[in-house]
Amino acid sequence: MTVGVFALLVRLLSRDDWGRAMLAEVAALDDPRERRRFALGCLGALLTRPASWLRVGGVVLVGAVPALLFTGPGGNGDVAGLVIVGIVIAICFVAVVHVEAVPVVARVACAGGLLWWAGMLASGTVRSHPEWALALLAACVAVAAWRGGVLAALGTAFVTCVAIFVVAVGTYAALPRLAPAVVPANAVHPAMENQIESTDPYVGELLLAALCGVALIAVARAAHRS
Amino acid sequence: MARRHSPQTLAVLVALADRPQDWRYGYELGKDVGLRAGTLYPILMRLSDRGLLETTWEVDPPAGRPPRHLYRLSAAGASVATEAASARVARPIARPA
Repeated sequence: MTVGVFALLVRLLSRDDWGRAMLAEVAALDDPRERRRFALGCLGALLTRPASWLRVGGVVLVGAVPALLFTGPGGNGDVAGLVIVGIVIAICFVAVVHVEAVPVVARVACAGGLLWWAGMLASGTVRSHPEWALALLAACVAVAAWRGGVLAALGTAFVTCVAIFVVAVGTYAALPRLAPAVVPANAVHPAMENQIESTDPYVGELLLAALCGVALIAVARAAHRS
Repeated sequence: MARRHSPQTLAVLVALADRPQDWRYGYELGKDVGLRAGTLYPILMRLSDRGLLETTWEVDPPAGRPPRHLYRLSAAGASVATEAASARVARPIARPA
């Protein structure tokens, strides 16, 4: 394992002093075998912490976005659209590594995602009210700011937006029978057409996630520099 | 009631108590007590969370290498290490015949 790969994994699992301490120890070792052994031990040590697993969960959540967008039906191969989606996904992957106050962010964003999911399953009209999603997002951000400060609020804004997108679009992809119909009852392929239509109302959440992600990256980097 | 420590945690406490004024770094400490990074760091994290460890960063690292994280026992850690060491002497670990 090269120092570069190890550094990437450590940054993914830990943004505190312990991650930096392990990176410094590994960088100081000259023998490649010893360095590899020590680096693997450090990764094992980081994985003993629940916060590391929450971070892995965040990466899986962000990874679900391209999986849902690129494996589902629909899409017309629009190059500009693909570039924008690519940039948004890249920002989300960088942002998820910068999430701090992980336990607070995970709890609040999970609650936000589940609330949206419950509302969406209860009523077919919820999805056509983006202002309700914004209100839920604002409530989540307020709770996170109160519990963990600015970085927790930004992290929560970012993860909640991604969570709303994933639970909503993911339900139409993975559990189509559970999701309320959004196309007319006489549609030729209702499940497939529902899945195609399900993404549109949530594009805003994805773009908002990217914007929150950019703010999170900037603030987290500034906080680490100071 | 005094907290019971694992043999590995005791070894780290005793090693740090041997040179209480010295700042130690992770790799050296691990070599000293015969623990791998995967065992050593969770112990250091726990000791630090409980206020038994003081930490700082190396002030003047060689060019091109990030500063190391350094550790030594806090006053509370030194007293726990003394207690733990005396308990270990009073109650030696039984070895199989």
